[in-house]
Amino acid sequence: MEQWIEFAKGPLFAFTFLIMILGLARHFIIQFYSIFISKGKQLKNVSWRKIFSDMFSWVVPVKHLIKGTRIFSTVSFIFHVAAILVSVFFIDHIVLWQNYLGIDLPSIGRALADILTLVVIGCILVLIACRIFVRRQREMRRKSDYVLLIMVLLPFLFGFLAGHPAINPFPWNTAMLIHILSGEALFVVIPFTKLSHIVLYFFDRLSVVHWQLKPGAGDKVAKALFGEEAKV
Amino acid sequence: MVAVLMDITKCTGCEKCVLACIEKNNLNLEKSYFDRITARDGLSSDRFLSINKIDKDRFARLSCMHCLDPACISACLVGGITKSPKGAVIYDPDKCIGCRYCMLACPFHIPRYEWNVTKPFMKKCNLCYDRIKDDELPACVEACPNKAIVFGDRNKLLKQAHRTINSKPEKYLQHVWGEKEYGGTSILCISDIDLAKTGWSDKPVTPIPHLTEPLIEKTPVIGLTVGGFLVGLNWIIRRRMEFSGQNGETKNQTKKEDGQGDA
Amino acid sequence: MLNKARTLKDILWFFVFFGLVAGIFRLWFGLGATTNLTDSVPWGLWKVLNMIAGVALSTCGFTIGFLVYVLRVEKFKPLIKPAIFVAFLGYGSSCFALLFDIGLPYRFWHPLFMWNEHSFLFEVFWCVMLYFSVTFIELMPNILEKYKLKKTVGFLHKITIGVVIIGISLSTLHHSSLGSLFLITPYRLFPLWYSSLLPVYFFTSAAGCGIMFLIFVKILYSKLYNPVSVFGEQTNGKVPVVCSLNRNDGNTATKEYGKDMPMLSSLSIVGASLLAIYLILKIYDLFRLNLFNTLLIGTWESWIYILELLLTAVLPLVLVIIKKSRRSPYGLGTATFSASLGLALNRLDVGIIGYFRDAGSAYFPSLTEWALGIGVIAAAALVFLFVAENFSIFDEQWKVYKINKGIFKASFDTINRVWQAALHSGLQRTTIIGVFVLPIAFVLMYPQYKSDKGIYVVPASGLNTIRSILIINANTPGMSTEFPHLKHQETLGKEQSCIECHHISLPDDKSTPCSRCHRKMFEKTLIFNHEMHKGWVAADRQIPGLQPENKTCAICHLPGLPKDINSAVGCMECHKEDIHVANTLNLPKQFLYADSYFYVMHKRCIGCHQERKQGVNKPNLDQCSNCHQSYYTQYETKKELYGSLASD
Repeated sequence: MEQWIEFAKGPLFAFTFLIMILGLARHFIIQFYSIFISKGKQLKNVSWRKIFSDMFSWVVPVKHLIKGTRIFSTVSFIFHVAAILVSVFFIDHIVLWQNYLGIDLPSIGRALADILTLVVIGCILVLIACRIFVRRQREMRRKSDYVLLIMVLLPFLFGFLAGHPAINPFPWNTAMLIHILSGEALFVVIPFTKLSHIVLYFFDRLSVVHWQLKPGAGDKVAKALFGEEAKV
Repeated sequence: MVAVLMDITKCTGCEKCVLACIEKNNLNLEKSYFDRITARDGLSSDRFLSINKIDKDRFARLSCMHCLDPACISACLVGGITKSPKGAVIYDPDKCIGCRYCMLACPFHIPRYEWNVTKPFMKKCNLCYDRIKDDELPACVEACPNKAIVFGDRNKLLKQAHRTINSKPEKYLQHVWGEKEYGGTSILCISDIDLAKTGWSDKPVTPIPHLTEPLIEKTPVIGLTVGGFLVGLNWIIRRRMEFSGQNGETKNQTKKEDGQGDA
Repeated sequence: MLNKARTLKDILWFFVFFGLVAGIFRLWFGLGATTNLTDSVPWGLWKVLNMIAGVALSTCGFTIGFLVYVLRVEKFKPLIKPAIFVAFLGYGSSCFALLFDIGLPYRFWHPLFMWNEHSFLFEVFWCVMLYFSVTFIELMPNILEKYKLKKTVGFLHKITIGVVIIGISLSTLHHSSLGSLFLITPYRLFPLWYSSLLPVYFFTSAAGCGIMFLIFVKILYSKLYNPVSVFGEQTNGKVPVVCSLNRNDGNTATKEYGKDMPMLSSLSIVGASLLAIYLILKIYDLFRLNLFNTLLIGTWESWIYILELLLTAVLPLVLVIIKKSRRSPYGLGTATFSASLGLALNRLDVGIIGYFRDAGSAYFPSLTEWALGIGVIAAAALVFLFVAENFSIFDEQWKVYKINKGIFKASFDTINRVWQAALHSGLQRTTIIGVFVLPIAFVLMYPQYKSDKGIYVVPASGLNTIRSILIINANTPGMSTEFPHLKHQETLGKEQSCIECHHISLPDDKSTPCSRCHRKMFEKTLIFNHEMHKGWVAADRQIPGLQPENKTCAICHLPGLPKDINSAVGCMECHKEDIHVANTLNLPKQFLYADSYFYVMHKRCIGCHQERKQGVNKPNLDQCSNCHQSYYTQYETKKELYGSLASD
């Protein structure tokens, strides 16, 4: 079992991590190329203010707290913050950063990490519940949504168990191996699924350039479809 | 010309010379012990000198032979290996580009390479040329407790060696190894057993550079001959083509080609 | 047709990415960590395959130049551009690969200023460098034509003949000199390959096979892009071009191939006649040096020699002599491919394989060496395809193969749009290959992931039952040292004396032997066994409420810290009573690593002997010869010792 952990920590980790980095870099380069270089001329017509405010408003769910999808947007915001904090700044992961890349990062405390991990797990459960029970989301669902949520859940769950032997029903090695392997599975999946919004999110608003629609065109379409009152 | 004379019968294989060599050249002692086992003849980039067991209680010294006409000097393309005034074959790490042709050229398989570092150099014995310059003994000679290796002028040592083997013909074989092998080396050996099966295996009398240097002196001549021949040939063919072109059939063709050539 | 080209490009990109990682690792970790080169076999794949064989296959530049510009054989004029371009790429890629092979790549310019005129390598360096510039000058007009610099092109055309003649002389020199490189190793190279005629061999075989290689490239290229020119019309639509060199022989009813075939088959006769000279010389040399015994004795070298000669000369000659196969692109393709392969094999033989017997060890290139060697060739092939697509290298004009530059908008649904759609277009397709190949190459070639190459040395092969004598031979047969254990025990005081030397008794051991922990002869060993401790520690203490297997973690690894070495408690926490305090060994908190056997034995023995030499009045007690005398004098006493063992 320890050899398996060593293998998962060594070559497999490098392999999966590199696939993620290269895949995301490829996304970034292609998007950057296609927007800023290939379609550079059309950028003149773009209203940058609108794009950035859109981007920001989707990151921070203030707008949506007032409007419709209250639970979903709040939970997903908390989930993102907690997940990034825990996975990057957790003290055991800081050791990995140091060992592999020599990067020295500040770490969050162990207690805070525990709380945040539980928050992440809770958020994922809520999100799954939203997918199942909220009508609006159930209509938009695909199978991959559930699979991806569970794939994100696994590393956090087993990482928490491995860190707390008192409540861990599995042997430590097993928990650790599942933690590492599920994390690596996530690495591989990230560039090929919608999880690549890590990079693509920042191009999403910008790609209106491709659509060659003027800013505000969406409102006009909505008006045409649903009449004056409809808001999208 | 200096030389080292080794009397195989006197060596007890204590390897004090090896330790002295390691100490003098600031080599890695622990790695050198490891290399003693892994390297075939005990030489490595951390071990310029090795003592090899060649028979029941006979030990032979292996290090750079400091040939009088070395193959490595002839091989090195940047002239990084030279012969010091006293006869040591020394290596200049500032010139080396790391082509390893000297390792291929050496008939004794002596030069070693620092494979384990990112900025590697060739490594071999340099006969402590910085010490013998000031008339000091090389470290290995100084360390030998049994006086099995002695250091001195090559001609004198040769005479001494011949005197020794002539005085005890029943003990020694009548051959001084290193006197004529590859045009002579600066490491001489006298022995009571045949060394031909060890590092000295049936070596010829000709120095290795004699195989290549006469040839390379001809290269400019060959190059110029080929060039001159081609110019002549080209001129003749052109003349003939012009001539035949005037006479008829190929005229159009030639013109066309000239046109293409200018375009 | 274009799909084939695209598949070929994908494969080439695969190798290029692999080679990229290999090149970075070579520069980062050094030669030793990435190659299988040793002191016995100092010249490896990069030098011999990439440099010597690569340069030999690029001779078409000067042979076709000779035929077209000097002899004025107008028939071969269409081939002059591809020939020069193949030569340029061949030399360029060879020199590039060589940069990775030499130990100090940043000093590649040294031979320009530091001269040794006696070295053939020096001559090769200068000639290759000059000839590379010559091919560049010859190539310039073809590139410049596209940019319509008429004056420069005209000037370059005027000096062409001079440049070509200089190029031919330089090639003659360095192709023979590449053979002369090995003249310096008369007693190392296997006698089948060593000959004073090596320069002539190298020159004739390179010139012949270079022509053959060009024909092969032409056929392959036509297969991919323009099959009509070589393979003929596939349909019955147009007037067939009959391939016949001599229309008077009446045999015009052969299969109809493309219009370039007559040219190629007559060129193959030129190449084959050079190969025939090579073959005759080789056979003459066998007689001259009387090597038939060596050849027929059946060593593996002789088989390789025969195979190499068959591939290089015999098979191509036969295929070219037979009229039918000479005039078919398939027959000619086989002949030329075999000649190229045989040439590469010949250079590998002379440069690497011929030295195995002398070196006493074989060499097989490591993955990194293959990756970089093939990667550089693949890169050259890609450049060739790129230039041939965009510039008029081969004379015929055909539709330029344009890649569809599709652009994809950002979409979270990437697997369909950004990844699958990208498969249909050029550079984006390449990047997908890169995303997958680079990590694989990294993992396969990263030196630290390779299994430990160090040999495991069993230090002491002695007597475990009686322990009267320990024979330490360190895996060097014929050289060993005896440690008289019984004698020491008696001298130092029977049963109570164990702790004088044995500083630890592990559980279940009366006194643990040295080799239990000091396992390697000259290296430190990791002696902490995590699996074993996990099982044992749990039995000792009980912590309620934990999953049974996890109890041990909490004993050694302090809670609230990462579970690594630093957070674990020291070994002495538990092992205090196992250590004999009597001896003054300074054990650290964590003794994960045991020193080498060599080191500890010397340290223990010499220290103790030095202390005691005055007491027992033996001044030589601390000298090397006290223990190591078995080299020569103790040969007789060894017999006694063995005798006493037998009686015990």
